Amino acid sequence: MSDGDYDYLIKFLALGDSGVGKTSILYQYTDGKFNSRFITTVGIDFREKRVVYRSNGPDGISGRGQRIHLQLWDTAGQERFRSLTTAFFRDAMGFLLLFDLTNEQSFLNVRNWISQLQMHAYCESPDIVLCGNKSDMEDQRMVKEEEAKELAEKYGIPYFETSAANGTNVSKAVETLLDLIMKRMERCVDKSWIPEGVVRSNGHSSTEQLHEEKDKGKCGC
Amino acid sequence: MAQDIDTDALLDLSFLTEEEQEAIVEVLSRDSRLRVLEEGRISKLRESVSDPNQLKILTGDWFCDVRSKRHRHNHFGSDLVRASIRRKKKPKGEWDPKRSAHVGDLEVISEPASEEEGTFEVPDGEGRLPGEAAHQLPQPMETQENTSQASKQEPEDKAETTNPFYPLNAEEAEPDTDPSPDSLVTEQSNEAFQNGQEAGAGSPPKSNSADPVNKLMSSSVSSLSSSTLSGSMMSLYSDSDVGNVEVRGCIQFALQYEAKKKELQIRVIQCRDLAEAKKQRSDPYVKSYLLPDKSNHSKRKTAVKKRSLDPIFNETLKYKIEQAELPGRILNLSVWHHDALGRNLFMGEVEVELSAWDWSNTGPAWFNLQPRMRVLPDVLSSRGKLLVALKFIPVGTEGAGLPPTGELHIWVKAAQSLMPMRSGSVDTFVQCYVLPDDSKTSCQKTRVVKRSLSPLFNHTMVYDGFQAKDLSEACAEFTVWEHETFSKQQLGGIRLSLGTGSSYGLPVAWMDSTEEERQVWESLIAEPRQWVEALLPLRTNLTPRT
Repeated sequence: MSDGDYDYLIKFLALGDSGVGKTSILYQYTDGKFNSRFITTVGIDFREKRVVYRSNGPDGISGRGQRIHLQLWDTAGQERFRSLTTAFFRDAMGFLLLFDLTNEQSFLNVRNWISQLQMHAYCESPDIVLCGNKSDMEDQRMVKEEEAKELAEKYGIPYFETSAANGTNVSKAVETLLDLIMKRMERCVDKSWIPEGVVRSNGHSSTEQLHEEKDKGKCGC
Repeated sequence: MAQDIDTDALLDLSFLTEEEQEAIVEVLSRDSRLRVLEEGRISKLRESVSDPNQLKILTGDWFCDVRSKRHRHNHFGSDLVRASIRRKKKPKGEWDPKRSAHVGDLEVISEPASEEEGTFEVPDGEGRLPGEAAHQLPQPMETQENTSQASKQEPEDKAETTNPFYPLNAEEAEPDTDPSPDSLVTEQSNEAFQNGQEAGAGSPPKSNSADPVNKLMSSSVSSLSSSTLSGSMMSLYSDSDVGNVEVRGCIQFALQYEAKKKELQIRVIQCRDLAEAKKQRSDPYVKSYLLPDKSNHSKRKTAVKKRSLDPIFNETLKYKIEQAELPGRILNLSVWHHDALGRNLFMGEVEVELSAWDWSNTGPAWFNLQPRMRVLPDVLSSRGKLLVALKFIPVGTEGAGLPPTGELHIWVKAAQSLMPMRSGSVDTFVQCYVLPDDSKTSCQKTRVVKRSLSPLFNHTMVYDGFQAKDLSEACAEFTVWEHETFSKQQLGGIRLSLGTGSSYGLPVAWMDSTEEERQVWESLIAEPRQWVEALLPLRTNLTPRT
């Protein structure tokens, strides 16, 4: 995997309160696995995954796939690592901001995380996808879907209710973020030669890929 | 690159434990590898792609351009953190950060070019060992082409190419490296440990260089003229015998640990291109210390070679030392001019962190001599570390009115990497007081653990009668002692408190906690009913309680 033969290196960063599921979501995305044991992240970590970003021509024939090498940074949510993790914000092109649907405080802190990003990221309005994680624990839910959607709309960012445990919306969230980045890249330069893409993963298939209902051009808001 | 980061831009990462630091450093090294790959890919693209817009997207320049508008220096976060961790390794006040001579920064240089190549004549007529001659001959030839190769490589590789004999220092340790020397290392005879680590685990990590000789040649050729002593450096010198000699030249030596004899053997081979100390000559000798011990017990010297700027010593300096102690030591080799009538003059030194040394490589290596860098204290500032955990249970918070008063739970877990007064093993115990109560009832002692430099105590105690506000006025003082038959010697201690300098309105000497120690106590107060664990360096500068 690490042999330099890809077209883009894209760096994302997962952030949010301690215990919301950042590590688990990334692990689910890259390896399709879930470990319910809580092992707090020491400062910082990252995972990698190779995906193919493919266009669909008007007549349904697949265009040339763009090989993306994803570097997924995982940050510690614990306060004591804050100065360390903040230093990595500037390296990421996109952010997965997570909160825990069963923990109201983690949702209330989303505002703070966003202002941290606005301060330390590579630009003032980076691409962010908001994820309300642990959607599988419906009986312990403390945050309503409407509340979260409202907040996401206020910031103009996509929102997904995810579950690292059963994989719901995990790939979708990451792929949506990737879509946003690829489109932003295109806006940064004059020519829009990047076709509107549909993201597929090569490698293992997560449950997401069995439901191929990706809307072309939609960013999943 | 990391070297360009201003010291004031660095982060304060002193709150990280050694283990945390290592974990992070391992992540950073994985990131480095990815970046090297990426930079290779990017440079190929720059040569092959003509459309500037396409190039901008493919190389990620689109991102860097936007970022540079905000983050002026465009340093990667990982570089910033790596540099901050490196700065953290240096004890405050003792180092000038720009002039570190850690193994990680030392450039092992290739054979210094000299007119004597191909000849084996030496000014004082001493012959070289045949093995060494053969070793030295081929090097200069290949140096040239390998230099250009080395310079093509990205700076991320720099540490690798300039340190062929040593595994990369901690910041770029391989994932399968042996655990840090600070982790609990088993002494052969200590049954207290449950983990099965062999004493051999105390030896430094494996080298990642397959062919040491080859790597030596691929290191960048540094100029032989080291920096001269600057006037401002003079103020750092605590030793009076420094003088005004220019620091120049290099020294060649080899290290070997003889396990059967429990001996560290330093083969001091020769020096090249030394400066003229006095009256157009130098009479050099080499002196060694195993820091942080700067006592006479730690000092060794070679014979003096008269009238030579390229002295050949071929002497072995030996230290009787336990293998487990090596990682905690720094070998200091200094070159001096012997002046029969006056003071000896300092001519340069080299320091080697033994924790980063590759012990499987017993061949000789050249090092540039450096000007004096550190203030060498006579007293060790830290003689190891103490691992403790504390928990405060406020009154009534356990239900049914329990506990009846606030309770401070203390768990003295272990000490690590102890440096006893004399070389060898020690019997130790920990003593604890919760000040201001210094009565006998407040004094708690663990049992004595015999013959261990990393004793496991696991001693728990509960102090009651507290209210939460009492914690702000109190100090948990832990001292580690060497147990001898009729006496005891304090190795060092820690004081956990808010460090305010006063208690219940009265100024007291024992509220002298360091920043790290304060943070632990603050966490204790802020997180009731939670264990707060800390691994803290043992201080030898605890203000005496009158």
